[in-house]
Amino acid sequence: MDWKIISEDKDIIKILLIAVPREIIDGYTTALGEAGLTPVAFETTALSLVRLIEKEGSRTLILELQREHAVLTLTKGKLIEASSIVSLVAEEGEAAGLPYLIQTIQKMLSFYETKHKEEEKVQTIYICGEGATQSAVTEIAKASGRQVKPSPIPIENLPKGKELGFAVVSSLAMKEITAPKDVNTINLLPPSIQEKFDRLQTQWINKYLLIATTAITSIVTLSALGALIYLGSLQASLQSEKLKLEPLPAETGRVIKDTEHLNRDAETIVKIGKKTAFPQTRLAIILPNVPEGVAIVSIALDENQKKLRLVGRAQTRTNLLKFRENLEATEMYSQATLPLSSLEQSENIDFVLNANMQ
Amino acid sequence: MDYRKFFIPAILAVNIGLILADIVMLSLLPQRSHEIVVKRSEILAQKLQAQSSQKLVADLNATKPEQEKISQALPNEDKLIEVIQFLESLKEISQVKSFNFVSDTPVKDTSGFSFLPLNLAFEGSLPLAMAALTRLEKSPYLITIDTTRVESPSGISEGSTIQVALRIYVSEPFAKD
Repeated sequence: MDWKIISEDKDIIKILLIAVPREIIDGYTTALGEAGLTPVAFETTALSLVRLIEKEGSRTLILELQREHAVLTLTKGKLIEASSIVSLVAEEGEAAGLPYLIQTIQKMLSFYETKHKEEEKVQTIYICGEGATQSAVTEIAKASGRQVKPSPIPIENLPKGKELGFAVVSSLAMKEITAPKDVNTINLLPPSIQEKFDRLQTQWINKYLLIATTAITSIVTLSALGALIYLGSLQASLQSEKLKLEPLPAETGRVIKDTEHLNRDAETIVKIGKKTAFPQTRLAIILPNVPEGVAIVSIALDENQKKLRLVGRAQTRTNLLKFRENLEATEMYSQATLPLSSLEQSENIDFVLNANMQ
Repeated sequence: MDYRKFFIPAILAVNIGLILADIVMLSLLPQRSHEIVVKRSEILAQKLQAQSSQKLVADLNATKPEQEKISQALPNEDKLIEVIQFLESLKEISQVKSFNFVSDTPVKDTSGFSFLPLNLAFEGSLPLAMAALTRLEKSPYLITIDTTRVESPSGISEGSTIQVALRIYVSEPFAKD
């Protein structure tokens, strides 16, 4: 037994409940087991038939016509309103065959259309199964007064002319297999078989996972091995490239040493040459500034101290002061000083003059 | 014998083996990569050194005259005789009375540059003395003057005695290689 929720309103939940005698399921299970197969789902023919026309939406009768029996299902969308199995083999005192089936169809339609007068009538009867011949279609249409059509078949490329015989099978093929506990589907699979199936499925999943893990590990191993081999060959080629490199020329060491020596010498020249001063310029500034009446007997220039020392004789103090004034007027000399002793006499003065040099 | 029951343990064993191999190989990869980077750097450095060396040689060959000037400016022990000859040549302008090296070996100035201190005395008129000093200044040697003393008892416009304390900068090392 299994059930599924068909619709769910605020106050009403419509549930479809289907039960099949245990013996029937066991019979199928045993047969499949002996064939080495494990069933994954069971459902009634009525459900398979409804799946074929559920998209229609309107109230419809679908009929599977086999050699010995027929399944009649009155549907509206996914809802099964009535279902009946009609035997086409005559039993004692009963009608049989197509006339009996037509009679049952008429009864079913009459019953439901009388009961639900205000609701839509069945306009179309869909037919499928091995016995769905053209003559059967014509007869049912004529007797029922409804349009009779072959049921839609969801699978293509079936044997030509035998498509309707595969209607239920093709509907089953379209079924999404879910466990019996799913509230939105019907699966009449017994729990014991479901457990066995789940166990087998888990084993298969584990096996596939293990195989997948092995495959991934193998890929990683191969990739790492490939990378190692590649790096090894790269290393070898670099080593050989290194060996092929010509050694530095023998003169390199000498050239570097010479360059360093030259750089050091150049640095010396630049630093020393920048502050070099020769005395000619200084003398050339002093001499024109010596006035008449002043004679220089000694000039001492100290480039380290930047000091000038002049020794000489001036005829008059005025001449001497003029000389000092002239020197201070130049840009090269400043702070020219005369000792007081040099100024004591007014004439014929032996003097010493000190000054700073720029 | 049902071989299927050995399937899972065998696969597990293979997996463990592969994972161990992965660990070993993956731990070797960074080391190998590092070695390759180092080797590439060494090769690049060697190539650059070779190029630099070639360029240096070419540059040195192309600047021979400038090198000569620099080498001449800072004489070493070998070239000292040329300096002495130059000082003697001042006689052509002014009468060189004497020149003497204050030290036999170079001394260092405050900046650490080596020089030979030298006293030079010569006689002559002041214009000739100044011409001699100009020659010293224009000489190919790096010379600086520390002190200059010009003396003339009868006035410097007459004949003078000039004493100059100078420095002749020398190459470092001064001694020949």
